[in-house]
Amino acid sequence: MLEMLGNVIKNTLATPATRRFPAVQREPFPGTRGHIRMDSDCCIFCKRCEIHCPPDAIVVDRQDRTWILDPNRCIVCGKCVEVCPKDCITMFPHHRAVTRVRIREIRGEDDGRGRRLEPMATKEE
Amino acid sequence: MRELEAIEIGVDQLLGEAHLLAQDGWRLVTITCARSEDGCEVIYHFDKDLKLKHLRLQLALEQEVPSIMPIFFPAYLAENEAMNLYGLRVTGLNIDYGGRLFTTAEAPRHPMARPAGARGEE
Amino acid sequence: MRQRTVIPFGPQHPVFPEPLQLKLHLEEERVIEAIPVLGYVHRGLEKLAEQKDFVQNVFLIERLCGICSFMHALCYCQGIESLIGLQVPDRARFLRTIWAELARLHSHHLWLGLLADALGFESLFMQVFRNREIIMDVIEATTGGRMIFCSCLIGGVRRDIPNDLLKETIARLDQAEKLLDQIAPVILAEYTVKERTANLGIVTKEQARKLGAVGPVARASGIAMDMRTLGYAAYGDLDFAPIVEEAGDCYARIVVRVKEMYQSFDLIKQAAKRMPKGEHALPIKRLLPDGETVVRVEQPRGELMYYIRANGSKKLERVRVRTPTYANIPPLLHMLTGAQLANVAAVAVLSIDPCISCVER
Repeated sequence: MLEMLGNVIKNTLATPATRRFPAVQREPFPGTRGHIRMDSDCCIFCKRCEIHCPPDAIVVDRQDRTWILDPNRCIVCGKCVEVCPKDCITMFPHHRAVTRVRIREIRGEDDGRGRRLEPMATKEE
Repeated sequence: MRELEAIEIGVDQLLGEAHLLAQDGWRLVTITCARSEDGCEVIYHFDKDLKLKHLRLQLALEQEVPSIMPIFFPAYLAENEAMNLYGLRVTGLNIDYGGRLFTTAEAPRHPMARPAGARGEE
Repeated sequence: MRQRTVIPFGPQHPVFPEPLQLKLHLEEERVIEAIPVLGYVHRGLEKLAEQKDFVQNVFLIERLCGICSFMHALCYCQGIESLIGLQVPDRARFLRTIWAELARLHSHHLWLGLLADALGFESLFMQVFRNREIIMDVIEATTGGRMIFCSCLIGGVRRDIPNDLLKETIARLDQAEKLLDQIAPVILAEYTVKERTANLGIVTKEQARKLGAVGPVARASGIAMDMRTLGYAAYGDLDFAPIVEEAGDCYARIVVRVKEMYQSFDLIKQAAKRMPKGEHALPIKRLLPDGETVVRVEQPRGELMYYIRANGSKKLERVRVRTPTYANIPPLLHMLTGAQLANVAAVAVLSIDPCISCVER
């Protein structure tokens, strides 16, 4: 009986173990694999990420200078982050909402001396 | 090249060997089916006190193989799977899914019988 | 002759999240025969594994099953390592052990929660899942993923657990173990749980051996079979013994799993204490697998076997996966024969901890 009383007091005073979800959101841990993003400024379109990607989610086109990610296929394994020779793909801990939109990174032409003729762009299609 | 230490047997020896293993207290781990140059290859894996023993069977195309289900009951799942995925011909099965353990009637009949990318699958 | 009814149990059932269908032949309330119908989640992963190269396969193989994904990667990596003749660094072996035991812990917690839910013991279900959340957090903090660890690689592990994080991990696990101390007596000593599960679905030692039972199902029937005693990863350096119960009924299977949870806590602590220093991965550049091998590890559900055949190129010729539930289906059918319909879902099926996506691959 006394044991039960202890439990009752504990449970009335304790706060819930759950979070009030939409209002309070949990911060992911620093190393969490949430989503990847590419910085097209430094991409050299070497296709290494495309070759190593296990689910074939990345398509790189050297001619058009585009880098397309299909987030629906991406399994966020982080292989592309590891193999990128220029370290321009980065892993972020927050999850991206489910989407069917593909992310296309386009890098504008440059004149061969590092000067950009067209601005770079991120398009979602 | 590291080969598995498997005992090569013929189809007619299979039931006898399996019977001896069963009497000796071996447990059937599973049956692996794989493509070989001319037909298919069946490997029976057995375990006793964490030691493994393998029986390897070379089959020509469309050659029949007797089921070891009367000796090792759990074999029926693996045999039905091989019938479905590889088109292996197993005779004497008591629980027969008719080559449709995993796939439905509309799916390719034996999806793993040909190497990946090969055309001409049913 | 009494009338026979056939009830299709599943593929969707409230207590049972996996798409397994059992055709139950009933005589009044008693099950005479049960026939499994598979194929609801067959994805052809073995075929796909022949098309990807062997490094990409690690990520593919991990997605074979949600709950024991790390064990699949571990088993596959061990197979490839033995084919290319690579010795994993010591630190990687210990890290693999820690993650394997964390995977076992969260799997057993999930199972215990589902069992409590199936018995109608809702509050216990919540308690167990609260405890599981701690373990999931530990997994996320150390690997970066909650379910799919992505931390095992051919040649080692992908990321190291720094020593301060390891200390924090152990502290969190101590907390989880204390909470488990409150839950475990409830499930083991509670009158209702015992009434519902004892003397039900009995598999004797002889039958278990004949039907090829593995894992907790075999150990609950008195067979001391635990693949961890093979000494893969760091298990050869740690002290433990397989947990064996003699009764062979559903209750014995619960006891085995609950004791295994404590064993996992203990193994993680041992591994953390003996964690060697050094690097955690070796490069595998220009090494290609050649030959064939069979590897086995102990999953939360039992013995997992991989048969891998390579031909010296980047692509493998054959990857065969034999998962524990595959081996535990014949014992399940044996348990169901003669069971009451009311016990089928809650007790008999759940007591083998089925994982159908593993079976069908």
